[in-house]
Amino acid sequence: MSFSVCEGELVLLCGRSGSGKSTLLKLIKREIAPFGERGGEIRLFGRSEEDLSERDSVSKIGFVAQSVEAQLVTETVWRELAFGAESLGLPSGEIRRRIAETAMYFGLERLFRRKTATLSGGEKQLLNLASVMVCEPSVLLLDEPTAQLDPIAAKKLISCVLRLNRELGITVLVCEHRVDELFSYADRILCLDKGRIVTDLPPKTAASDASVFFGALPTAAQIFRRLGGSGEAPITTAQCRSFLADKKVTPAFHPDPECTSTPAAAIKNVFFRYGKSDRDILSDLSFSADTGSVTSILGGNGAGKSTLLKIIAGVEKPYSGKLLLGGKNAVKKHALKTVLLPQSPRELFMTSSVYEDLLESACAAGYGKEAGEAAVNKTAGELGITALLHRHPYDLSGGEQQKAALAKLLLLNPDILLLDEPTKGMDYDSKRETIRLIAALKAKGKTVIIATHDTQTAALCSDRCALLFDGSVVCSDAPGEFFTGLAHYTTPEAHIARGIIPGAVTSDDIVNAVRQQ
Amino acid sequence: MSNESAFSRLHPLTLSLWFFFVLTVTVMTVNPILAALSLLFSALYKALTTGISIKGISVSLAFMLLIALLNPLFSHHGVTVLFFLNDLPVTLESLLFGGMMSLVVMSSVLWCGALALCMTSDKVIWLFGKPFPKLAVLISLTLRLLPAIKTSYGRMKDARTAAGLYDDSSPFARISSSLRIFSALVTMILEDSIDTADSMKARGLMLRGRTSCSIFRFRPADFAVLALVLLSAAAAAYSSVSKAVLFTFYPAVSYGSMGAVTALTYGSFALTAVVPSFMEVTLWKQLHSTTYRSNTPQARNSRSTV
Amino acid sequence: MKKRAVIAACAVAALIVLILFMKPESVGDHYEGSAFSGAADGTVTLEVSCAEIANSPEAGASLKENGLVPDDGILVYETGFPIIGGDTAFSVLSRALKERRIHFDYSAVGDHSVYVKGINNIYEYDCGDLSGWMYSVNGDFPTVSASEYTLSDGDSVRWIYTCDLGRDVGDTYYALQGGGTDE
Repeated sequence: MSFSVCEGELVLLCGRSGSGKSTLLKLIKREIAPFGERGGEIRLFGRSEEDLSERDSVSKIGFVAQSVEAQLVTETVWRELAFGAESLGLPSGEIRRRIAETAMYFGLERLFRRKTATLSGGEKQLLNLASVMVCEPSVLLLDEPTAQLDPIAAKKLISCVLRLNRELGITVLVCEHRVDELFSYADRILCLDKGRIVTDLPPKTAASDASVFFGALPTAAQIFRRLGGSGEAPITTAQCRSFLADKKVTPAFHPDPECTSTPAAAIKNVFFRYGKSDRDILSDLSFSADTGSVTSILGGNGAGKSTLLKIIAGVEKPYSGKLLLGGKNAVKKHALKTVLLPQSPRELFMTSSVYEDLLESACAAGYGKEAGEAAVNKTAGELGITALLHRHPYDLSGGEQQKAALAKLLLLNPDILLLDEPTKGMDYDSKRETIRLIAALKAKGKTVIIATHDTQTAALCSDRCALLFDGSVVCSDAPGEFFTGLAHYTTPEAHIARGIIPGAVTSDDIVNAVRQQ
Repeated sequence: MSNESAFSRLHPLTLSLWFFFVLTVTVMTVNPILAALSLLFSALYKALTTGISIKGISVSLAFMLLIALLNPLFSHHGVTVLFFLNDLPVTLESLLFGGMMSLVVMSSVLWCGALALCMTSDKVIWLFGKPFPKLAVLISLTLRLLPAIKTSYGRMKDARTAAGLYDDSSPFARISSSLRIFSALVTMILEDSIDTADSMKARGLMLRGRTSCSIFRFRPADFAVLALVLLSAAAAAYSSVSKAVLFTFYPAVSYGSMGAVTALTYGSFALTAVVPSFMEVTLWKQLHSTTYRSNTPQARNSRSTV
Repeated sequence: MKKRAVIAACAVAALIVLILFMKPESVGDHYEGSAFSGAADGTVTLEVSCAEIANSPEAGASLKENGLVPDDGILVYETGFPIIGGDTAFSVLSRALKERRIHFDYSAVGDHSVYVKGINNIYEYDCGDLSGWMYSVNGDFPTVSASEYTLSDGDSVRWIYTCDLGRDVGDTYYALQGGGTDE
């Protein structure tokens, strides 16, 4: 492949997982370039890569990876900022000036003397970006920088990157799944497939180009493509609204959810805090999830979504209030089997192969040796991970890890599955796969409760959504009503359809509404 | 760092020399006057920073009494025999020496507490980082890793508890469950360290000529405190060699006459030891006056009209 | 809470045991109870001397200031003392010093071994690292602890303060070995 990037450009790299995006970015940064056979030439700043001095390679090219936690090196924020400048051997006064300036630019002044361990995920990734910028690079390489962030932190980081590009003229190469914001601002869209560049176009043309795969498009362009629109595709909410404005539509119809008998899990007036002197995380919270349904709990950072799941799972005990599972008090003993899929599924793996890990669950569920092996193979087959059974869990991709973790939990024969941010950091295809898996769980009669930031996924897969704010449930409804009722905290599709297609909250709703005419 | 004490704002160099001097004198001295001064000011500083409770005082006093009373049981040195215990003499000198020891031990404990309060990790890294920049990186990396490991362990334990795979029904089961998590944790740390190493390499860890930056400034207060420390150290060293502050307990209590050098040594040590408390009190005063002002209705009104 | 209760109970128990093993005596009672009674099995002579300090102008300045070193350095002049069966070089010394009301400090090492640390407040190490108390019987320096050396009628016991591992008072043990420590 060959391509070039002009100074000051913002280039968005798209591609399915395994298409070689990360490898491409890492090859440009010499210090972390992967080993292997190489051919061809990389030219930086008009010179061959070999001619670039070590010092320039470190300072002129900045790299931010997706792992938020592991990129941090030091224990305080200011020292993290100083790290790169210290490497360059700058005198103390100069370093102090640079870190002061950078901290101000990124709004990190209040965190300056804090311990890095006390920062939130979004703050950590912002710090990672800022500490790269201290070296004053002219090229910035970003490898899925928002993969581990919640949507609000991700938006903040992306707006920072855009500012760096617009205000400081820094050349940016970014690969990213969350394209809604970046797509329209990018100068060029590069699409990779199986190690080759298949598209190299400006965003407006790229959006209607067939070589760009569906998942790499912003929501607006996805709707356009599904409706088979012709001409220039819309890439922003406003463009998509004007595209839909002249179409004749019918209001979206949401069938009433069938009434189920008993709630599988119910929480009554629960209060919870971590320590005596802490604030209440949950206060007077009441919530219930019907047997065999999918319920999504939405809410901002620190709203208590994860804590709520932990309480249902029995990991944490409320200091007041009741937890009922299958109608029975479950604060002391669980009447129904609950399992919790943590935010990062790798926390569940204890051994060096997926197979052994699954076998551990099978044994815990009381299977004998042969029955256990049969159960492992059956579950793996159902989830489509048979080929991964003998791999090390840490060598799997995010989506694969999640499936393996889910298999491990399903072997325990749970009645209630609690999923904490199941679509965090996933690309379009993996998200679709997760939604399909959740639907399959529901079909098996399992009760699923999801804590998520992802409004799109919640709208697609749940029977009921609940908004958690300030420790209690503010509203709870079927997704159609839930997301039309909310004006800001809703799906991108609902933003597009507002006032044009009443009640539409997913792209399916929009597409159906237009097609029925 | 909202609860930072005034003294800990000094430069790490000043702080480390100050603590080195005061702790050396405190630990080495057999002079009860120096030991008493040391205890007085260390207790004062503790009261001003972390505060002291009745319970804390009574526990400390009981501890000191224990040290004072234990010494005569083991040392029978001394010409003034009070009584005999198990055929061996219990002497006044030995009791007094025990009392002196209790002063030394208590004040050392208090100063070490102050050291932990003032010498934050940032300052420790500065001390080692100036001559060995890469060592500074190592210390900092370790200090970051420790809380991260603790958090990860908690998360893994929660994940397994939620799945019912964490068995804590018996102490043995709990140990084996913890060990299992721990071994997985090690793998996870190693996995993450690849990313950390990349992040360090990308930001030039391998470059030669690394420097170590600090956000500490040498201010006039540092010069003043440092000068005081050097003066006191000189006085203490001179009197220690010339035996001007010599104090012996055995075989009988005896001390040198009070001369100019002796007075200078006591005086300068007292001045040095009172520095932290002095700085704390002056800072406190200022803070107190501002909070007072902002809390009065007049102040609020006047500010809103401005 | 349970843990703290256990610790407190242990501390109280330790204190009780400590008190039970303590036998306090007033100064008068201690010295009065020393008189030798009963039939003697024989007589030995005993001398306690720190002449090495007295003879050396620089050694033990603090001791001399406090009047602990007699001019001739003899704390107990050579005197006959009655013994009964099983008396050792240590028990005779202990009784003699008690009788003369002289300060005496020792520590027990192991079951039987006793080590003399100080007499009349003159302690080991008071005159340098090689100083301390030694004993000789009939001119020889035994290699066993004084409490394990049983005396017989007519023995002549001397307790001598050395400033040089015994080399200055006529012990040849270390002189022959050419070094070693005082044990």
